[in-house]
Amino acid sequence: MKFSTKSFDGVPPVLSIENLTVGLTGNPAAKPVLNGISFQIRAGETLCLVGESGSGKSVTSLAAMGLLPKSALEVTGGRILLQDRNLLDLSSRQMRDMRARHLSMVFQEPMTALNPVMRVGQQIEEVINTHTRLSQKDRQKKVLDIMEQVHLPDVERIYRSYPHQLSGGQRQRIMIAMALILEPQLLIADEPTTALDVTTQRQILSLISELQAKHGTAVLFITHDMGVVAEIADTVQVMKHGELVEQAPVETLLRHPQMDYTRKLLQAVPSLTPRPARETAAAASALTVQGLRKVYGASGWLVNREPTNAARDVSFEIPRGRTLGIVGESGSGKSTVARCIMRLIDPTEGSVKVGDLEIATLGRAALRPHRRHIQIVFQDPFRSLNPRWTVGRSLVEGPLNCGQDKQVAMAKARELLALVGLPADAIDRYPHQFSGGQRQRIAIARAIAMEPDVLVADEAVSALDVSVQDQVLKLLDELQQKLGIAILFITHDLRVAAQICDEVVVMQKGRIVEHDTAANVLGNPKHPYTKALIDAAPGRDWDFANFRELKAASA
Amino acid sequence: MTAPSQAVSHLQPVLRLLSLPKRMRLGVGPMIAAVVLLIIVLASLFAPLYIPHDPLAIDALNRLKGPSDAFPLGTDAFGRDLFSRVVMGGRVSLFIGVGAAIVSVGLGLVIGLVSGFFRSADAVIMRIMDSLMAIPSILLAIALVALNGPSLWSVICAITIPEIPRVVRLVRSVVLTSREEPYVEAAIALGSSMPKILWQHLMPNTLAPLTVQGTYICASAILVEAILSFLGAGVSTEIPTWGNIMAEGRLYFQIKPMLIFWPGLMLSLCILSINLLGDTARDLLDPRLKKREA
Amino acid sequence: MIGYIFRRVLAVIPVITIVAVFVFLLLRLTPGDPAAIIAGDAATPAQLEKIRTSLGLNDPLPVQFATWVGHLFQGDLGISLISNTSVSSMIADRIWPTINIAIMTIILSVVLAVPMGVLAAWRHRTWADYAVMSFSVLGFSVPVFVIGYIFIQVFSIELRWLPVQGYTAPSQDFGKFLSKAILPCLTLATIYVALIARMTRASMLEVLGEDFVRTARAKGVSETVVLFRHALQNAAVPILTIIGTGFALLISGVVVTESVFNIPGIGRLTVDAILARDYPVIQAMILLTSALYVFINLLIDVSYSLIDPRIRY
Repeated sequence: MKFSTKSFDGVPPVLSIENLTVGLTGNPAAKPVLNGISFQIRAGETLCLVGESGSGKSVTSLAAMGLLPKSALEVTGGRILLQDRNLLDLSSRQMRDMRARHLSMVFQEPMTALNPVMRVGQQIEEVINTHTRLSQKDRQKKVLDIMEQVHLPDVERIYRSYPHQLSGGQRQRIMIAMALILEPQLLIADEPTTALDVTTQRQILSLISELQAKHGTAVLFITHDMGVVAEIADTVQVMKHGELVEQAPVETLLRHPQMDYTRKLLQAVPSLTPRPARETAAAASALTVQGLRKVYGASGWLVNREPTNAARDVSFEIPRGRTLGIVGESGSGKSTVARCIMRLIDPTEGSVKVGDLEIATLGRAALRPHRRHIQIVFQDPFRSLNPRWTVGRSLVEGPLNCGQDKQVAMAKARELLALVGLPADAIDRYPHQFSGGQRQRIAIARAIAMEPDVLVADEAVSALDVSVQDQVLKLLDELQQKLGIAILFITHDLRVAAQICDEVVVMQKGRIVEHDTAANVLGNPKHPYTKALIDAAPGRDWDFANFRELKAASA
Repeated sequence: MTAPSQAVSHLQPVLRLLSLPKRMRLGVGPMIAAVVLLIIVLASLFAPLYIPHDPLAIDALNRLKGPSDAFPLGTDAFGRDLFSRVVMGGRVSLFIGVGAAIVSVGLGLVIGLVSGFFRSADAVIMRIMDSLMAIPSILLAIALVALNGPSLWSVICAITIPEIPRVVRLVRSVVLTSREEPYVEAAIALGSSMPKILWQHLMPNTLAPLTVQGTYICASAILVEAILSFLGAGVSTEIPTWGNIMAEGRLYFQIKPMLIFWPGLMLSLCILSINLLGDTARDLLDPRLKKREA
Repeated sequence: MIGYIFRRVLAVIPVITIVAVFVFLLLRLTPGDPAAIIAGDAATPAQLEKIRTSLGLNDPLPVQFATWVGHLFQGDLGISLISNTSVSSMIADRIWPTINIAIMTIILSVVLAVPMGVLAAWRHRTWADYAVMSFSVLGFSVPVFVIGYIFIQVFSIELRWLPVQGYTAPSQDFGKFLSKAILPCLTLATIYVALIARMTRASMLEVLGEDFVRTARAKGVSETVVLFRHALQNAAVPILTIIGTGFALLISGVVVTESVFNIPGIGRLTVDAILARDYPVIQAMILLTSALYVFINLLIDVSYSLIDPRIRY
């Protein structure tokens, strides 16, 4: 692992935040959202602000931009100095003049951060129009120039495009172009690659570094991903509940973390080293998928669209008590496969067998009694439980459908709650009273209540913080050992796949490109796409949990 | 930053007192609206117990009189007591409002659920609803009343039919958005039947917006009744309503504007209160607004 | 793009057809003898027979429908039972006052309501917001004719600024037209402004919470640009929709307002027809206004694709 070793001794700070406190608007009694934060970023430095959700990373960046939502949050103390000016003293007009010229920002969601009804070229040009007086010709030249600099192809065409005509990576390049066109001293990037695929993430990260080196910009980079930190940071700030926990140069922090919280955070980062192989007992197959194919986009009357193959020729098999992972980037068809197997959508052709039962061709009504054999856990813990139902009611919904007695089902539900590590009184409470991780446990309990043979986990830990992710993965593993369930684990995250899967299937554009044991796929990839995926995984040479280099892939 | 925030901190205890039960606080406007509406409803309900005159009793000697002890608000062109007519008229107007709201919400809910969940029925139902929306409601109501005679039920019916498509669209959109929710897909995976999912998971999501819509329909029904009466296509004047009192009064508008003023005031106050309460309910129930403020 | 418009136009056909069937059945399926209903209680058998023949009520229903639709395609809306002239020429005589007033009202309403709604959303939860919302609730709560009488009482009778009632064609005397049309337009506009301002506010509030608005602010553009260049265009689709569906309200308003202000437009024509139970006229008016409503909403639908580049499928 090559860490940044740039020295910033004697370089003057671009941004100094001094004792910054942010509280809820009109509620000084409440616990502050930011409690006395102080740090500095020097010219050319990349400072990574790391922390789990709710740690106050984004609030810090919005406060610096003067973009806190006024009705909810307000700065109650401290100073934010950009060079020597306290940004908190500026009028809103002066602050507007600072933005884009002296400090600018790139946001997380490239899909929603651009105005959907305005051509992207005009959106970049608007920055110049707002802050400078250039002739039409100079403006356009400058815009095309920065678009070249962020390596957009065919800039003349993209200049005239609308955001929805561009990919996520291209939109993020537009955002970066917009942020850097006036060469500000400070760039704030708030999780700019979190919504992107790993291969795109890698390109965007190197683009930011490249432009930073070229213009000498200071970068405040906000992320929850330790891998990204290892790749790009000069200095790291760890945040927790609105306070700074630890600050250090990147290598020092990753090798010798001082604070317990930092150590815990690092230890929760899943390793890219696959789990030790379990013996593949000659167990019967729990799920067999043969030649599965899903085609979207019928060509109807007056509608002429090319049908898309969301998935084709997908075949695999999972024995009882084992886990198979499907890995791929967005649009690879992995979720389509999961939904076809669950029969939430109907496969175009192919066979899906649960045990010996063919379910791909059963009618909706005929399928219903067999649903209990195969259950699913979804990605978003906030939407996968009915908010109006008590946890108990959600847990017994399935068993009651199978004709179980209500009393028996409730008693069973209590046992299940204990099994997934929740208190017994959870049964009468509502989903909003639980955290994301707890809700995901409830969703797992609901699936397990049906005593399924197969559990499909569709990005089931992707929305969770790493420490919670770790716990949920352990829970799934435990349940599998106790109950002998086969798990189909859909994920975009190779690290997560490495932790839980016995076998891994790699999908690209609706096809399986590689299928082997986890150790082989991750340690010795054959297909170029798999290689590219592993290559792009940030911080792949570092063993975060043990604070040292990963012992070469030979292990 | 510091100076103003100090000034504010002195005010804080006072501010906090004013906004103490923040979630419970209704605000002054809605509070007044609730009280006004309550008074109007009670006054109308119990009107037969206290009105000084029979609202239909004609008194040829006392035509178009001003307010007096015997006639608190004066008399109309037939010498009937305006006060008695206005409070009795409230009963009928409110009945029309509530009746139209209940009927259109009930029918709209059923049609909307069916349309939202069964794709085969959806296309046909929605085309019919689009067509009903296209017919201007007042004209449709006028035609219905003109053909069926000016009875109370034909007025309610005439008001209800144009409202149904709006309710159907609302219910359908709620069903269409919530059927994509993972918890509904989880219910499918758990083997719940379609009618059960429809009724237990999806229908409850429509109740909050329907309550709000119901209040708006109630208000608009009272208004439409008044307009129908004004145009001569309302309930016959033997049953006083706020609308037909005003309709009769318009001939004498320049001599005695009070004939329109009093029923108009009651009607406007009543609708205003219902609308304000509807708005408040919508703000409280709208999860999107809540999220933004969180 | 062309395909999109074409499909929109095609989608209109079933709607218009259902409206036509509905209007046709309205009279025929009424309990009792339609001719008796139209003629009233004191009609002689000869009068009844005359009505039956003139409406073709003696034929079987499908034949009646076919004849009626056939006439419609030739622009023949029937013959008035009262004046014995063709309904189409009656409408043609009376339509201009209504069109003039309606167009003035729409322009007035949009010009007033959109800035009001934008202001209310921008200054969410301040006095400006409360003022706009109060006006909007009030506009919904007072019957059109009461507003009309209040305006007449205040501006014409008390202050004597404007004439009480009546209408002058703009081609005849534009000043007179304005002075006579201004009160009816204001009356009509009240509820329309309330409706549009409300929708503008709601739609703007939603858009102002979106990420790209934050991006625009992060670029340092002024609030005016944020509001009118970035937010309003994105908020426009629901606003246009409500202008379209609100057109039905406008028609109802026209009927009432023309009676209050004694304007010889098609609203008055309709009211007179109802009072006289002149069924062919009522039928024609419902059909005409529904078709107009459908057509206006079609135009609005098509205009979405000009505002929002994503709607081009």
